[in-house]
Amino acid sequence: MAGPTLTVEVERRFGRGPAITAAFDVDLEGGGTLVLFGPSGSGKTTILRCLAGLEQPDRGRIAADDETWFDAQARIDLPPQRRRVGYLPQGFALFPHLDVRSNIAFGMGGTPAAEREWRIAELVRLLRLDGLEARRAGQLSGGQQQRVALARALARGPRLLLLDEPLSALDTPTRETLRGDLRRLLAASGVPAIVVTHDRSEAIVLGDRVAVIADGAILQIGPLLEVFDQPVDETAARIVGVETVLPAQVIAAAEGLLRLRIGTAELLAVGESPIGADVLVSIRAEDVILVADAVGTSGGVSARNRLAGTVVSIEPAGPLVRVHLDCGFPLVAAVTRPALEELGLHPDRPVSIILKAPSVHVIG
Amino acid sequence: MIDWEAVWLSVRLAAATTVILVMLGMPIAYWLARTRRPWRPFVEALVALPLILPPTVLGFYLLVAMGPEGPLGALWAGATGGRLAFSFEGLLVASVIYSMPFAVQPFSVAFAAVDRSLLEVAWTLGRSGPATFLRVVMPMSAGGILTGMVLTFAHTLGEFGVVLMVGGSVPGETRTVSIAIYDRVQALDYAGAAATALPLLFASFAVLALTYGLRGLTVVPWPARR
Repeated sequence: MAGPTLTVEVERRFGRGPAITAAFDVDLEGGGTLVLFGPSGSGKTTILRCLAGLEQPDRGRIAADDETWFDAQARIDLPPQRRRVGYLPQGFALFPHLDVRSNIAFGMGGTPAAEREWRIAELVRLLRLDGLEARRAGQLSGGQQQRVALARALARGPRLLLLDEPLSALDTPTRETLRGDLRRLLAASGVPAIVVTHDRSEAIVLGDRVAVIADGAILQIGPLLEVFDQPVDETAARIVGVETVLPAQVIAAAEGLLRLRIGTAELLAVGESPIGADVLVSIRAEDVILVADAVGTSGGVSARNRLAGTVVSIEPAGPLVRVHLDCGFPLVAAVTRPALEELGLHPDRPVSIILKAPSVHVIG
Repeated sequence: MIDWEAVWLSVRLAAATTVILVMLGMPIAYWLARTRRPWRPFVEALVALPLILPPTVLGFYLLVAMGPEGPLGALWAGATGGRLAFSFEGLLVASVIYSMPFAVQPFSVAFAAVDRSLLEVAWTLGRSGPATFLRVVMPMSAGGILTGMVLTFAHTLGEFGVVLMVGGSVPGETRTVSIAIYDRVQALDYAGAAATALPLLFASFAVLALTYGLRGLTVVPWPARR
């Protein structure tokens, strides 16, 4: 990478458990989000805390551009105060004895008063906190708390944001609406971010790049689509799940329905996005229905999406089999073994594919 | 007939003890609340010892230590040339030790209740350890700090056994309210004892009621932590 880069290569041990190791780079210029994704207890949070300076690795080195944050050999350990990172712990940890404004201003001790006022006003506008300045943390909704925590972290002009499970403290419906919101806010801040999550949809929505972590090790790191569509091994595939993630373009939108172009095919999905928008769609393999005989293009089935495709390959996956298809775009279906035999599926066999519109999940 | 000299002495002693224990007790309490060192239970036990030790036992050891031959007494004599036992200063040292659990325990409980992630966020926002203590830990522990101060003040006001052992009954120097009452009872002056005892009873009750009323706090003596 050309610009300023965060280089991480650390190892941390807890008792007799497996060592947590991580080695990756983060571009410190031009924003972008790296998601550390994996099951709970896999070591994601430990890696994040090592970056914030709240935990000391046993071995390794962390350097931001030409500034060394940690070096076990040279015995360098820059305290959290001097790393200029914006840290959002799980649950946000807003100061309960301070109002929103004082929370935001907490880290701006050295800033001249005039500049501080101007900066707070800017953050209040960016994070849509107008009218909430005098409220206490306890009087805010989960989403508002998150935005205050983000404003507080951005107030010091950090070079990197570190977010630990930013959506897990929220209840489910709020979480779903706030995913996209958080993505837009992170993009608008222009500050690169590292986000820890165990939630697949959060990883898909928030990540530009994804690191898949299991048992303290990074199994795979790369661009979002690459990681989700081409897992390096079985463990990585199990963690990222049986989902097809694809880029799509909105070509029509009406009454809560979207017409999307994916590859050479078109799909109907449920969602709200402007026409022309580039979005991501995810389709769970379990939701894909295969039909042996050609289905007519109209009538007879309630599902809105009927596609013609061919079987590319078939691989066993526990009690199910994963059928890789080509239907104008690559798609994976998970079917039972009896179904496989009954349909007589084999590579190059043409099949019809049925997908309900709500099974096409639109992200972004 | 209230013994105003004794009342004024008790108030001075209680106020000085409270001030010293705020300054001395807060670092000890913060250390107890945050440390994971293996010797923490020993420090905790040492601080809590006056709670269960008979005041005469504590007073006896303090008297020995403060005597001209004792380490504290010798140190004091070397520094000031004066006498520590049977003096106000000696009484103050004894009170600080005797009332320490009443300050340290509520402080420590309050400090321990401050979520660690709040401190960590403050550090990443550039605030030093002491600044974080002043801006986050202290304001969030205000209730516990106030409780510790009130309990220290009230407990020092009512102290008897230790005062008797190390202070004796020097008027204006070590004769506190509780000693004055005791002396009057010994002299069969029940009316005089009552005149001094009743205001003490009401003052103690009023201070506690006011504190609990203001803060809505409940204090249990040395509860199991977490």
